[in-house]
Amino acid sequence: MEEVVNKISHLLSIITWLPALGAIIILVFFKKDRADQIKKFTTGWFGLTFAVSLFLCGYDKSMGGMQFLEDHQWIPVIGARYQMGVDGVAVLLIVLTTLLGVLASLSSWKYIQKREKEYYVLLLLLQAAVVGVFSSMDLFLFYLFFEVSLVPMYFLIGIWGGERRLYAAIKFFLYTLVGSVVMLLGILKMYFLTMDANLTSKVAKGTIDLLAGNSAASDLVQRTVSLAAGNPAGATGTFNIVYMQSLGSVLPMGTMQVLLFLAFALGFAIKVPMFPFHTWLPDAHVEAPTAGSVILAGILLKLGTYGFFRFNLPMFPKASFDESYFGSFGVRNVMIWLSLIGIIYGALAAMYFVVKKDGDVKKLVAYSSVSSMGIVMLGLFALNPNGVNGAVLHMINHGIYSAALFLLVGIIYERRHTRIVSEFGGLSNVMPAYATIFLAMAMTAIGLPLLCVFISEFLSMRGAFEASPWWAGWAALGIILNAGYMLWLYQRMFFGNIDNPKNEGLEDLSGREYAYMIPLVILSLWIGVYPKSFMDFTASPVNAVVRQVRPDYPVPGMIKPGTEVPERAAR
Amino acid sequence: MWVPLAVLAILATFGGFVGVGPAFKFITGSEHPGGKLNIVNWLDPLIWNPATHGFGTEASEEVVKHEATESPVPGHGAESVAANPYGNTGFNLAESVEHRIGPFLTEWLFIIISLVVAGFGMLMGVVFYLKKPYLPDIWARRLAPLYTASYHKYWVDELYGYLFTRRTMDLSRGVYAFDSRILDGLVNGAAALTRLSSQIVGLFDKYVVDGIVNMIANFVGEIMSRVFRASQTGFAPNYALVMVLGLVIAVAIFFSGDILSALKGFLAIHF
Repeated sequence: MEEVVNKISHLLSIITWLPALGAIIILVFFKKDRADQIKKFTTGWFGLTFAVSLFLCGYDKSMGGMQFLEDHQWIPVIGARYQMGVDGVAVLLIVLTTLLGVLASLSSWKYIQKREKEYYVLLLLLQAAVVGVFSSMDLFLFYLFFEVSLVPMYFLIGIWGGERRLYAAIKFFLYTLVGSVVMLLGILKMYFLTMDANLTSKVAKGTIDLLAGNSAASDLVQRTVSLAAGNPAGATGTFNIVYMQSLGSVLPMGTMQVLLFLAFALGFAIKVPMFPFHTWLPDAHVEAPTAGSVILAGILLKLGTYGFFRFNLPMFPKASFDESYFGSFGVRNVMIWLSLIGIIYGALAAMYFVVKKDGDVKKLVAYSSVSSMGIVMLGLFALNPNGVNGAVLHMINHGIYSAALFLLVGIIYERRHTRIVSEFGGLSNVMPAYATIFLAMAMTAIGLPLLCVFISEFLSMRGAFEASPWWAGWAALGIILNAGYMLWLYQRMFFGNIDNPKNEGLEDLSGREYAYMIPLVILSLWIGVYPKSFMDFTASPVNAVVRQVRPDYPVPGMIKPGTEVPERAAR
Repeated sequence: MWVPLAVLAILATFGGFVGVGPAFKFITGSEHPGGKLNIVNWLDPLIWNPATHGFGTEASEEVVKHEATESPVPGHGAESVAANPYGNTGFNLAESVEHRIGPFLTEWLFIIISLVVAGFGMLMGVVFYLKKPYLPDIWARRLAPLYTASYHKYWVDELYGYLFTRRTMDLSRGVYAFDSRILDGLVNGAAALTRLSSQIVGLFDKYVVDGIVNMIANFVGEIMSRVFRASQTGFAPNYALVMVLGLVIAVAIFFSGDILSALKGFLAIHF
């Protein structure tokens, strides 16, 4: 299987550009007023992309590293190449993206009642950009996709959003842009560092092998570097991500590394979003149409955490693990405490929308995302295999349950045109199936054992505990608060008698709604019961990142026999 | 309503078998808790233990080898890997009983104790509510204070509600106020500041920068044009005069260096 799949050439390019091709087909061949055809075609096309992306599951887990490699000349003057390649983490995120694409387009059939053609075109383009982000192996290409992904989302919120859609869309766009422009400065500095002979001469081949993960990828990286150096029009630097990561191992710790870390971190922290850069999120979620919220929460937030995993940790390992740069605390402490504040703060802010009389469910889910992404960041900066594994799995799990919750809120909004908690009550009497699926997803969000979030939260916190019991303790407080408002929300919306006559005639789920909810419930159970089938994908890239940041930590499968393990590593 | 209860009762009865001890070896087929039904170590394959270099409770070959040769692996205490995975937790009733009568009897002893306690509770329930339904009222009157306290669950809910639930709700209101006023206020403030500075720049551009441009245009259009218009008299001698003046100026500029040095020489001689 794996042998066959790895031979499919340009698989990543196909998955990336297939949605864009679909968008072109719609633009050219479909008439504006045939909305019915357009939505069926789009959903089918998303289904096709999802089916093609399943070939990525043939990723060779025992080999690990970057696979499905592609390499073409692109902009030789600056050494930017069209290079694609994914590791296990990116494979999972891409498959999640293509799956949520199908569900999002299926959920829009009735919700979107104007300008359907443009809507579905933008949905397809958004997917192309996001898959491009996950599959880039060239930082320049990455940045391009990263920025382009803003544009379709901007229009999705700005055209099909709620009352304050323009405010929310502009806030989303500008806020994210501020961060990524600062990141661009960092990217440029990194690019010039790849031309710095003092540094590049120190990069060990072993580091490249470790981060590339397999010999084919390692060869690609070294070929890229020698091509850049031997450019006939004058030597250039390279944007190859793996090479930049390897450069991180020889980058001296100091102000420059900390500044670079912060430049990248700002771009990604706004995207995650981490406290205190999160205020664009509730606005964007509340105003976005259902499918927009689904993609935003399910996928776009992961661009931030994925960025930390792919860039900040391996490229600036010393800054990531630093605990003394600012005197009594370091960069790592800053990240950890912002995550912890985010976990508790997000949970408390979410709770406000059940505490107050006319709370908006969507805003509640939005703030719960802030809390959840805090757990991802905590796991990442725990900087041990358990924490990072948990964080990576939590990215997927958050994509599942937050997408599901937004879809569920969308279902009730289509029927009642309101999302105010106090408008509902006793819904389980009229919509039993809806109530059941909502409960399954609320329980997932809380982290009930045998459902997916339990595994990832447990692993993240286990990792954090290894680093410091206090961190895990504060995170646990946030998780308890999450359970508190989720159960309370469920009680107020679903239990008791129907006291609002408008809710009496509500219809239960339709076949189409079942079709887009059931896959998420199944996934949640699958990951909750047998997470290993997913964790196998992430094991080798996670271990490589941990090893890059902490060379003396005993990482699974990478212990050299006879080596002494220092005291610090075992804590 | 009895259907869900029946389902739960069945699950509760058989759920206990998940993780049963070695006393039920004939079912589980293993000395380990749960055996084939084991969920105790369900997450073991995921959890990396840096101290043992293995996943979950297993130890890596390297550590096992070191233990076999009785030389602890440097850096991770081999003794903690061995007998008691939960550490020495002080006095432990079950453990001290186990020392006296062995693991097999201990397990049955505790199973029997639990069954007796549960059976006693069931028996009391049958006596109080089925056989002699007047008994609960009598005992409630006799032990009135205790009855009231237990009826109100010792007021734990009220205390908890006041101490924690209400306070958490207050905190939640405070956090949201901070978020919407201060944090989002900062963001919107930054936006407003940008808009304000763009307005200032706009006004500066309109009145100062463009003002200068317009001033020059006006100067040319209003004043200079009058001068030039006035000079266009139509008389040939006037034009000739302008031409001569132009010639003089051109010569003066062309020979300005010579004229200046001549002037300097003249001044140096006479003064």
